[in-house]
Amino acid sequence: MIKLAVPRGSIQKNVSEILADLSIDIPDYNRANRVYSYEFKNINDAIARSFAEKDIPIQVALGNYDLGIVTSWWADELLIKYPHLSIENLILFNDSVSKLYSTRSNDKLPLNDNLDEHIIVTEFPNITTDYLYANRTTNYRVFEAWGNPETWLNGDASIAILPEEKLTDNVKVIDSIYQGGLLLIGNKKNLKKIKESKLFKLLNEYKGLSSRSPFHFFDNKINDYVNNTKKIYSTRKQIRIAIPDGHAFRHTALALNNAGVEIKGYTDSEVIQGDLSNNVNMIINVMRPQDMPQAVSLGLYDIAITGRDWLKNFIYNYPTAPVFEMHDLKQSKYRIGAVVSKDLNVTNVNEAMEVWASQGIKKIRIASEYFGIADYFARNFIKSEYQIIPISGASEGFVPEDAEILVEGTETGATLEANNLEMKDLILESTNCIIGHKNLIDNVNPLIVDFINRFQ
Amino acid sequence: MVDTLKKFQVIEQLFRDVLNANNFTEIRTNTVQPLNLYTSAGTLTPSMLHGTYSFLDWDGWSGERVVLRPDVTVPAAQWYLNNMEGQEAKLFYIEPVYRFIDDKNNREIWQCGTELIGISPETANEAIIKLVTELLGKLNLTTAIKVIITNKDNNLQVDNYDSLPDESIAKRLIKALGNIFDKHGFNYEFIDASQNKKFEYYTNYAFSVIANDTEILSGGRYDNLCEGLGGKKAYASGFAFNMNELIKLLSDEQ
Repeated sequence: MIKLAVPRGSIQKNVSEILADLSIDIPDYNRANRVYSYEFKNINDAIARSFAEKDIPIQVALGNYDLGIVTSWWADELLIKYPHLSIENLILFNDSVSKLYSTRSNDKLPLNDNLDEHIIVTEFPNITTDYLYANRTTNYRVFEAWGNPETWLNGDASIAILPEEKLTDNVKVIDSIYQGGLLLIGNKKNLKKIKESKLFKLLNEYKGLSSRSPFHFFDNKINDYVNNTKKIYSTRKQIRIAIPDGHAFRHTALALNNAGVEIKGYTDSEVIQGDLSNNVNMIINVMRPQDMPQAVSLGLYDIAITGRDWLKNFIYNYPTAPVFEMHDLKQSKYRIGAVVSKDLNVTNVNEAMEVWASQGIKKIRIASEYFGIADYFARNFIKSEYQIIPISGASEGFVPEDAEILVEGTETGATLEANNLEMKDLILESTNCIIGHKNLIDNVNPLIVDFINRFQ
Repeated sequence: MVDTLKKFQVIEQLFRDVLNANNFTEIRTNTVQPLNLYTSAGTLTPSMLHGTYSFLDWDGWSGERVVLRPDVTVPAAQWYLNNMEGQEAKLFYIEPVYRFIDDKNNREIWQCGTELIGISPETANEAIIKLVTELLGKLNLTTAIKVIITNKDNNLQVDNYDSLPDESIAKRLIKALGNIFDKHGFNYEFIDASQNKKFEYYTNYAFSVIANDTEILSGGRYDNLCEGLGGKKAYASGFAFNMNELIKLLSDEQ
């Protein structure tokens, strides 16, 4: 049996077109539903599953999947840092369609009060670091953002690494740093089986590029920018507030409105860049809730509205970070815990460990998008060898096949139930909260006190 | 294993004795170093940087990465700037460095090395020739040896060895090493090398001693290193033995 990992999201349409060209039919993949495991219409000895794109190279490297189709930058992001991984680049379906650029704001200089170095924000820290090494760049820190790195160019970061589709009039390209395309990767240890399979033979008929072209750094202008751009040490009086994007944006904006803090365009479904505040004493920007604890720690924001899960996840990774929970907003309740298959019929993870031991499982695989929380849990409660598998969401289906434990958040437990999973050990309860920099403990800011009091 | 450890101790003891007798001071540097110590000095090639163990430490919330020390010369130069800047320093160390290579058992590499900082090139070169020849002379090595010498400034290579000025460090080091190898009956050859591929801090000459296709000793001058680390410009040179490889060449009768 050959197992193929295919991507979800905006890239899905391109993959479907290539598969259709090759008469490879995965009917359910093309439907808008919450089914993640698929059968092929015309191939009996292969199955497929869809993943967040970033997770596919990890799944192929682990050997959980024989083949994966992925934008090449995700494979390179992993292989640059871990060249010994068991991943073989097999077919590049197209080239020069996925491009990354180092960019800066067109009109805003970095307002960097706390660091001497330039902040470079990216979803691709390894590709970015490789680019900086190649240029012998100095005087920088690379921050990995969960998404929307362009929002950091509001004065928070000097440079953002952006894909071509995010280049707008608001940003200016410094260097072209990467080009690639849609790529078929395979697990190196399974190459013989892969190459004999009907699925690979069909894929290999694609009239694409025969070999994987390396990516290149073209322009090397970054040092001029980093070395010659003076950072501004602001004397701002306003308080800076970060509010979450995505599905939490509208709820948060509404809550702010109810508390008498007006937000420009809060009814819009699209996330807006720039200051959303109508109050001269405040600057309100939108960013990913996962990135807020770091942004607050750095002093880029005084306070932020995020989930306790992301605060804890950050603190478990970096216990000395100067960020803390200031006020519990008591909304968006989530339980985060260790999730296992219902088939185990156990009452807790300790009992599950005994079952796994009796099955000869020595290394416990723990999949989670909360890397810090999962590692905290494993350090304290897993008494055998363990491995944390980072995933980027949509975790249904990992357990029991590709991991023994899922560290996951759930509101009602219904999704877990539907996937034959159950939460056994509760790790923490999360609600949304206001987080702040620890220097606010000693330096009480009346504007912030007033802001928080509105929610009491 | 016991034999290996004994040979290791022989090298360590010999190195410490010789360096102490020559009025060198032993230093220790931290195993965990900030990555920017290596990037700001522009000292390691991108391929070397890729092989370093770099990570965000428990206090890495500000994005500052740390590395397991991939090289001692750079932190030793930082030690000099912190403790002895402007003075003449004759330092030595016996410490491991960490590099990601295919051989899982050889990723921790013990080095014994010297740093001569703030000392004129003439004096330092003499000291390096004396120490290298004395140490290699006292070790009971059992194999053929190659020596690679490059001269970054003049692009002199050993295939035009005869055209080197007699007083040049490259020629004098080759001659001194040749003498010591002749004396011990080693087979040896001098070969050319276009450049040292791992470190970019060498400014004048660099040399390597190769045995069984493995580098057991390397060194050279790095006069811009202190300035690259934010200090004042200072003459600097030194060398280091790779103890992991050196013990394989020692006879059992040390």
